[in-house]
Amino acid sequence: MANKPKMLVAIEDKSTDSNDIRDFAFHSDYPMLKLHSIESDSITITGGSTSGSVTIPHSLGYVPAFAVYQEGYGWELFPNGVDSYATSTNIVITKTLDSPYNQTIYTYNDFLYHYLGSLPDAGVLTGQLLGSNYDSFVRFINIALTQGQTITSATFEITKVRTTSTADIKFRTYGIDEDNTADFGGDPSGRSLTTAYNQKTQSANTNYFNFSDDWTDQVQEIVDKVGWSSGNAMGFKFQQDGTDNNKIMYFDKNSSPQNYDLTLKIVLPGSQTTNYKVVIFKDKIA
Amino acid sequence: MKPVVKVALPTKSSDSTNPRDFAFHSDYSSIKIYKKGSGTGTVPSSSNVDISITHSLGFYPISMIYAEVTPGSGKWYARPFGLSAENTKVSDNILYTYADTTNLKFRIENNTSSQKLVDYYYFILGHNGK
Repeated sequence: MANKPKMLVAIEDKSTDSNDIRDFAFHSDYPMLKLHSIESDSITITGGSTSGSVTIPHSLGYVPAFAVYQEGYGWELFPNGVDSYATSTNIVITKTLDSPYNQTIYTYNDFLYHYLGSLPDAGVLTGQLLGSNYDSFVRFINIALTQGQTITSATFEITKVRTTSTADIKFRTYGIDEDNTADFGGDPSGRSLTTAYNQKTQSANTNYFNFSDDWTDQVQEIVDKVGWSSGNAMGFKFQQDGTDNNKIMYFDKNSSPQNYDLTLKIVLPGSQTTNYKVVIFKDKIA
Repeated sequence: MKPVVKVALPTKSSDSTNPRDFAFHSDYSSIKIYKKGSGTGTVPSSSNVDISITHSLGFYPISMIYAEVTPGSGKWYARPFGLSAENTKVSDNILYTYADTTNLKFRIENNTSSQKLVDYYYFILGHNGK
């Protein structure tokens, strides 16, 4: 049998008799990755979002080999936090952040509520008991917003609450209309409230759930106050508003470990754009 | 004078001094594929399987791995390490995923409650990775 013809191009100072693949600029025994195209695109992640994606079509009709570079400190190949895959029609890149972009989470500093006692072990968020209305207050400190700064959103959440059965819990959520509201060591019920409020109707739910509420308008109103400055504290009120008697929304006050938490997530405007280059080869992998 | 073999791209001159203008240029080593292939890893539920591809190059080659971590999805991940959206991945632990002078090794981890048949494709390139 005749020898298979070969074409060899050795690199400088190397012999074509070498058995080392690295010594050749070209060797017909070894195929080379063949370039299909190099594409450029970007991913924009907006405030409050954790991830973004971009889809780059390639029209090859099969799944090609490819490589993804991200611009940052130079161009990084297959960087951390970036997933990328190929299909028979596209390359899809997804960038995921550890936390939502431009979002800061504040944990409550003070929480004033009515405690019913051991039977049941309930801290009342809002409602009516024995003909009396019950409100509660929550305070967050060291808010890193400058006076008049525009926010995208402010979302409050309290975890593991529940309600009494059968009737809706009706209430309003206000901000405390103060530049730097003090802690609740004194009675805060006389403090002025923001013009902005939410009218809430929480349907009865005797199972634990997380209650969240959009407090963007309340937070913006407080930050827009002339006397507000970064690092100040802001407060909010849950005000009973028409709930039937002996119906409340509450949490387990003395659970151990504590299973309720109150947070305020503030998202600022803006976005992060990251540039990518995708090298698409003609080499088929599937 | 040193002989040179050049193949210029369409519309480019072989007199160009820009490497990007050539489909081939003997002054520049091209990316040669020493070995490529595919396989399927059968990964039991909540377990893993180690794949070993022998190359015996005697040096640490640049390698590329692609895997269809969700069988039948048609999505072939180029870097299937630590994927947030997938419960199966190629381990990014350097104890299990690496190339040495004789083998390309990688571990497929299945964090689901059912067995998975994970297709993979690899390239072992004829160039130093170390």
